[in-house]
Amino acid sequence: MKTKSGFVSNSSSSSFIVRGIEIKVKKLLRLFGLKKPKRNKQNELWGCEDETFELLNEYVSERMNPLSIEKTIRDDGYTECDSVVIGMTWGDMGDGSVESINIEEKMEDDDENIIDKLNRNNVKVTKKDLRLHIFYSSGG
Amino acid sequence: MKTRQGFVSNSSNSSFIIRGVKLKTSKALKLLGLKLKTKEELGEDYYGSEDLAFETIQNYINKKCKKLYVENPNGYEEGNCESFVVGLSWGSGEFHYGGIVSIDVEKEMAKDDEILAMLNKVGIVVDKKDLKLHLCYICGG
Repeated sequence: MKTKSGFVSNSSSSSFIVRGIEIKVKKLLRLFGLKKPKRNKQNELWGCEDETFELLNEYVSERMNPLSIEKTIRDDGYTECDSVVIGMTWGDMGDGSVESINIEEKMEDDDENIIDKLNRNNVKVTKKDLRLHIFYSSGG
Repeated sequence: MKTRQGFVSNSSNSSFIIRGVKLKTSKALKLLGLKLKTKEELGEDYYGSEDLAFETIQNYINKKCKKLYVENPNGYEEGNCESFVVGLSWGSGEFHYGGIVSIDVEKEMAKDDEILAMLNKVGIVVDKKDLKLHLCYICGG
C-alpha cells in the first residue's frame, strides 16, 4: 500500500520545512527514468488529479525513504507544478506556533543520507547544493 | 505609534525566519534589568499590542541594536506572549502567498558570530550551540 510521505492536513493550509534540493519536474522524470503520465480528470488518486506529481511521489516513497517530495505551489489538487522539492522533512509550521530547529545537529544527522539517497537515484548533488526550503500556504 | 520592524504585508498575516534564541519574556525582563513600561512611557515607540512586557523588551533591544529582530509569535494584536524570539532574520514574506523560501544554510551560518556579538551587546549572553532557527507563520485571518 502506498503512503503519502508529505504533509497532509484536513485544513486547506499546508506547510513544510525540507532540507534538500529544488528541481524541475521534467528533469526529475528524466533522471528517474519515468514517463510523464497523461492527465486523467476522472482519476482521483489520493484525492488529487496531478498524476505526474503522484507518480514522482510514489517513486520517492518506495525508493528514497525517508526522503519526501513536496510541491512548490499551493496544492489545489489539480494544478501541475513546474518544480518540486526533494529532501528530509525537518518540520512544518502551525499557525502562530514557533518551530525551533537545531540546524547544526540536523545537518550532521541528515545531510549525508540526503546526498546518498539522491545520488543513488541519479540526482547528482553535493553538500553545497543542499538548501533549506520553507513553504507555507494558508489555503485561503 | 511606530511601524513594525519585522515583515509586514497588507494582509494581517505575518511571518519570520530568525536565527537566534527563544527566551521567556519574564526571564528576559529580569536578565536585562528592565522595568515594565507603560504605553505612555513607550510613547512613539509603542507598537499597539496589549503586551507591554514584550514591547518593553523589544523597545530596549531595538534601541541597542537595530539589526536584531525581536518577534512575538502571538502576533501584534493578540494577548501576552510567554516567550519571544530574538536574532537575525534569514528571510520571510515570500511564503505569505504560497511561495517558497530557499536558504543556503552554510552561508547564513557564517554570520553566527555576528549574531552572538549583537546579542551580547544587548545583554543576552549565549553560546553558538544555543542558536537555533526559529520559524513562524501567523495567519491574521
